[in-house]
Amino acid sequence: MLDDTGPTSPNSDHTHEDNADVIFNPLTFRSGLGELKNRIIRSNISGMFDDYNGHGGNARVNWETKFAKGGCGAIISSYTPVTVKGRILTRYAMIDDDDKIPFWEMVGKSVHHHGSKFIMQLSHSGRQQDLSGFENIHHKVLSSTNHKDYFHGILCKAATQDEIKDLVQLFANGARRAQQAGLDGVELHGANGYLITQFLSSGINDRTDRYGGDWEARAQFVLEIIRAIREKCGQEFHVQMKINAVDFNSWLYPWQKPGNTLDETVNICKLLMDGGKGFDAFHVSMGSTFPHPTNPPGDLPMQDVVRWYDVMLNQGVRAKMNYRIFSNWFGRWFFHRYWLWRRGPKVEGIGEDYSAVIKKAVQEVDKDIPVMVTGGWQHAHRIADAIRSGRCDAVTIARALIANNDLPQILQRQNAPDKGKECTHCNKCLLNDLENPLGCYEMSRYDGTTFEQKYEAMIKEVNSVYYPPTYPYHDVSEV
Amino acid sequence: MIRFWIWLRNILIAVVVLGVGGWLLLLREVPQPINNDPAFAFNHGSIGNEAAQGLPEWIWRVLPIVFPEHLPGDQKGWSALGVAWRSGDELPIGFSNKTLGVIPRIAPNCAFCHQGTYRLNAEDPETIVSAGAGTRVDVQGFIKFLIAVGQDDKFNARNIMPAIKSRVDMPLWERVMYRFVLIPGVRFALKGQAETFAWMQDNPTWGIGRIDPFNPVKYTALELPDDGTIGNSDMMPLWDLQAAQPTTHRRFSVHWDGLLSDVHETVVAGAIGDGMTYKSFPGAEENLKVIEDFSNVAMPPKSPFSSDLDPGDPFYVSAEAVAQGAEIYAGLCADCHEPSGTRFRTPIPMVEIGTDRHRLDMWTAEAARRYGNYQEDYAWNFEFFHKTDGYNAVPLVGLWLKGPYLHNGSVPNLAALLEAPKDRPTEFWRGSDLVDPVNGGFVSGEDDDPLRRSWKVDTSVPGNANTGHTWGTDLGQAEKGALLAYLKTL
Amino acid sequence: MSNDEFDYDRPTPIEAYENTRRWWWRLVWFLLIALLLIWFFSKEWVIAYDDEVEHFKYGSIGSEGNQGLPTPILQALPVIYKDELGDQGFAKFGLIQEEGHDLPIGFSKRIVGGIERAWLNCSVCHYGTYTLPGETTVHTLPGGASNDLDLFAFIEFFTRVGKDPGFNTNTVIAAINSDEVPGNLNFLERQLYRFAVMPLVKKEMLALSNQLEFVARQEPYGPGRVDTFNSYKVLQFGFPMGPHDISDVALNGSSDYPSIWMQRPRAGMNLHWDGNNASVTERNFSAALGAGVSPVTVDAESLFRIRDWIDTLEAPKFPGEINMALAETGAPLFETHCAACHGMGNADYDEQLAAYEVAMAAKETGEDHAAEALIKPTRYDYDTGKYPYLGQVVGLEEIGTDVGRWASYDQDFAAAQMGLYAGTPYRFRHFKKTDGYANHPLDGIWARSPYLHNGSVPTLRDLMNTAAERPKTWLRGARELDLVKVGYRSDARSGGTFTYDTNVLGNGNAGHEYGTSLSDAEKDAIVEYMKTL
Repeated sequence: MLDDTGPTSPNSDHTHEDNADVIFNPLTFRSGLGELKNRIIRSNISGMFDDYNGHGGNARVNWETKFAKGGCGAIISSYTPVTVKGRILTRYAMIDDDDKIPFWEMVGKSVHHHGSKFIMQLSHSGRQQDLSGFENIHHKVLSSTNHKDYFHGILCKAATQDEIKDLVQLFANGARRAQQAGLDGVELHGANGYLITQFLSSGINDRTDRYGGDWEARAQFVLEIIRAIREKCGQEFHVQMKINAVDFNSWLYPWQKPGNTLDETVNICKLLMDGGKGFDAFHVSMGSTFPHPTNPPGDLPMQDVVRWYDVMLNQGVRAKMNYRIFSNWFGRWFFHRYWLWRRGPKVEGIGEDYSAVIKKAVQEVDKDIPVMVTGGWQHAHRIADAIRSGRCDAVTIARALIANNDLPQILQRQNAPDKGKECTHCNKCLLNDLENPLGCYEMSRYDGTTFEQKYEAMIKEVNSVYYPPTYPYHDVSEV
Repeated sequence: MIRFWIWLRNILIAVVVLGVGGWLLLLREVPQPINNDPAFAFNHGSIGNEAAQGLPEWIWRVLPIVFPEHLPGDQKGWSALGVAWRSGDELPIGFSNKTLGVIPRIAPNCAFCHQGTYRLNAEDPETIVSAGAGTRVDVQGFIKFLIAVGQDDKFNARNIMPAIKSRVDMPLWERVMYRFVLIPGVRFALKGQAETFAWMQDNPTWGIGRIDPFNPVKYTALELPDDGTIGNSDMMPLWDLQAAQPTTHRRFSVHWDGLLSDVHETVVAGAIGDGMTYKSFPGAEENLKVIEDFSNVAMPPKSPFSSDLDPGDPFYVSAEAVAQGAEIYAGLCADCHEPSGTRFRTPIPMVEIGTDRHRLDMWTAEAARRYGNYQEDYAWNFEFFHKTDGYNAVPLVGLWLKGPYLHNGSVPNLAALLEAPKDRPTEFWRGSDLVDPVNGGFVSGEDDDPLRRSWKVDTSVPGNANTGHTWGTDLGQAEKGALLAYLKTL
Repeated sequence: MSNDEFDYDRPTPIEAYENTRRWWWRLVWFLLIALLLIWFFSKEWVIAYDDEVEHFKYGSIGSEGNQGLPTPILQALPVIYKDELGDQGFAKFGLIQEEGHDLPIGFSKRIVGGIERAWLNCSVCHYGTYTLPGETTVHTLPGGASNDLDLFAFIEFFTRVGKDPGFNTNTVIAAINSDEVPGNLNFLERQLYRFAVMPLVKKEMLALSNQLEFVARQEPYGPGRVDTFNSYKVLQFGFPMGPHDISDVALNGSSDYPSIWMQRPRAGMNLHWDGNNASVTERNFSAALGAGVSPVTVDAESLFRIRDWIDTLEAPKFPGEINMALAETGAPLFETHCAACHGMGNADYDEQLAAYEVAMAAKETGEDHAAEALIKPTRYDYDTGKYPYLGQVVGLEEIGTDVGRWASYDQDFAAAQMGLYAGTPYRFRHFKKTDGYANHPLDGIWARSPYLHNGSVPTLRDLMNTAAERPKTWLRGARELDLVKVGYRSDARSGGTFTYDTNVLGNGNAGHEYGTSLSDAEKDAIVEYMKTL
């Protein structure tokens, strides 16, 4: 094994300085987003930090600011619901009403203060509504299909054409509010199994109307959204699209339809460029569910699965069966092996070969449309190689940044975080997010010589998102 | 530190529980059911050697079935050892069944050697004789069987349990005990037997109906070194020991060389030799008493030789011959062999008797001293162990069932014993219980009794010499015939 | 930074508690399931028959769990070995196949260890048949002697199958799934047969074949005979049976199957041909071992039920005409020459029966009656007080019949038998070696042909002649009765299948020359009288 931590690049062709130059070479967009100071973008990720009804809180500002301070070129907001009916988890700040604009304005200012751009990810869960909240328990969530989610068994109903029109407007209004809040752009979450994927994916979309059928029909929903956004926000406003390169929809149950292939995705991307009026950038991900073995790629911490999956027991009709599998030693062992087998050996840069194809196809049409790719990035030489070889224009990172908020600064001076401090891609953050503040829960990364010491350090780090607190301490007697 | 004491306490508790549990399961003596028949008590009564020599009942029952190849002779069950099995008994004569803990144990007792059978005609079923001379018993064959079985790798639960399970419907707990405790335990114990009896390999074979009675005790309990002596001698019947009880003015010797002069001590010492310990003595004492009482009164069956029979009958002896023989006997033999005789049950000096001296030399003064003081922490109170210099003049009651003759069984029959040593057969076969109507004793030709296993006696082998005891050898043929006729009727 | 410094996946206290509890639950479930399985596999099921005769014919005595084969395998054998057995299957061995039953008389079934197995019961050897001259109707004699059963061929067949590579999982499954065997094995059952049942069956049959290797050195028994004790020696005690271990005389101890009717009056007599046991129960438990039970698998209750039935099972009456005048002249002759050893017909039977019926009626109504009149009279007089030698053993020299059967039962074997059924109330206590052959009552003697212990004399009339005059070679296995000489026909046209040669070891027809010096007319009269027994 090469030791790829520390200051030097293990890639003999390029020194670390070469790699850093590639990564920190600014990236320019055709849109109003303008220029990013480097090629490291914080991918969309979030904890349940906010007010229950979708109003943002102080912790969210702290959260996004951490990464701006850490030196990311841009930050893509967490999954931001355009309506409460499309939330995935509770206590996420939403963009469903104009009354949310001031909060996002605050976030934008804080991020901009540290020299980063802020892109809001507009999202709707569709049938992948993990924690619906009390608001949603008496109705089925809208989707492209009537078929329930096969993973957790979340029930849904196919949106009527009228409802689709409303959905399109929800996205457009979200974009308008982002623009009004002074944010740098928006991203449509068209990947990982949420509502837009549910329309795009041949594995899920079983509609027979104009929103279903071949890839063009399935892309119709997104096309209408981008056109509606353009109508509301103009051509200058930055709008990008997160999209699955490949769906791998049959990862869990082999009898499920496989979903979109890379060819279909390339065609869809080209269609969504809408003759120069479409998206300004593409953000490549994989997997028609979330989580999915290929996204976020890594391990599946079965102990945490058992500890935290319980909140979902009442959310889907298959959740109890899953939980029985997870809490049974054989089922747990089997599911874990199955997960790793479905993922394959590659973690870091898992999506780079797909993004290379998409980037080539997209930039043959319009060379100013950058393609970024997510998937386990953590090493300067890997990121630089990917950019240098034209597989992508930028990388988006979530978990490695949670582990080391200052990863861009680290990569500027060395190839990777110090040994023992790297993100292990254990995905404990992912599972803990269901019930605990988002943060790095990989204990081995923390300082200390005993379990207790390390655990203490972990608590402190995870809870650091609440600092500074909403109401900082000051001595009342001095007032 | 506290943890250490807790561990220590737990270990102590475990030791006590296992110890008490083990004792309750495996060692606690359960008295045998009472049987009022003294012959039964003699044949099957415990002599307290179960802990040392007892095999768990079902291992004992299937051993000859699983390992017939290690049995001597015809290899057909325990009978191959020459032990008789009386109809109705659960065990062959010479085995006791006593429960230790929860497991019945089968162990040999006095009757293993002291039993007998006879047949008058070849087709007759055998007639069992209590406390007989062990004419057919192969004691060494039994020891060798156990040694061979202990060294056989087939001695494990995989081979033995199926045989047990097809013969008895054992409850699970007992199967578990057999599989995991008793079979491995017995294997371990039997493996050790090979070493205990290693000295046997260099000595001449004991043969059927014979035993080396004291060397095993010498080398184990008395802790004497192997001195290379040969004690091979006939087993004795235990009849009419009343006649050996001391009178007010003299004691009578027992054993071939008279090394003891007390019947009670003989019984206790014999039980010790067979594996009794001071721990099991209290449980066995009563049985030993019954055994002693029984041998005091046990008498051989009446001789089939009679002058009352039809003269054509092979067992007919003429009244005149018997009368004449009785006269010769009174003059020539009675002083030594009649209870009223002055030399009855006293050792006749070696120079006088002249028979094979190996048996005499086997018993040493040191052995007598050690046996006398055996286990100083327990008061056995042995007083009558001696070293003598001759062979004991034994009673001739049941003489017709005591062949072959002399202490080492070196003379096949009474007729041969009346011949000069040089004229006595130098080889013959012993092991039959078919009475020889002509010569007195049992038939001794190679093919005289195909239904019985025979063993060739070669008088040139050390310990087998047929010299000595020349009384009567110089009588005339007619007188010899008369004396023989009389001796057959004893 | 090694991960093994401590357990990063340390369970929370709640998880630790639940893990412990889960182990307890697993333990509880494991025990419950184990108990259930133990219950299922240790429990046995049999078919119960209300009728005593049906119970005798098809009821289980417990041999299945010891030597039995799974029923489908047993049924497959005639299909696999069709070349050898032909269309008649097991009937080739003289077994009787009845309509409505899938196995012949003498086979019973029992579910042992979750698998239905079938094997022999008492009736395989004790079920006689005969036909009358000129008729084809087969009459049966439950409790009689199986005159056509060729057990030698049967054993030989099974020992050959045990060693035959052609008897394997594939042929067995193919045979079971053929149309000739009822039932089909599904996929799961086939796997069970392939990996569990057949390897075990093969192993057991091979072991049995090796144990019974000595049978090949025996003279064929022929139909209607069996060597009871030699197989017994091996199977129960592992006695060595090599050429040097046993004499040729003792190796050939074949004898006729006896009839087993009217056993109660026989209690206390020396049973078996050589009189080695005087206990009917013990004799039954011993015979059951011969049918394949083990002291563990024996169904004592079933055996006692059969004993109760054979205790009073009436001997059959002669099916032909009897010249009563001639028989009456034979009666005193029989009394003079035979009765002391064999007993004889109860001359007062009719009167006693009448008295018995009167007494029974009186008992019903509560009237006075003599207690001794309540004992049901028997047609045969078994009174050992009157007939001093009845049930006694006569020395070899005196009786003079063939020694093979006597020699095969030896002292060592008698001794070893004392250990059988140890640990149960049925432990053998009465077996003994004797010096000859025992005298048996002659009830139903017409149906017990051929005569003498080894079945060496075909008819009663032949038995009345000296050994020199008795047939030297004749045919066994015929079903048709010779109503004049009394016994199965043995001539060339009788239908007999096996040439019985009295010169072969164990087959000698010498001895028992009682009455041979009488005149022919007297002999005829005695034979006529014996028809009435």
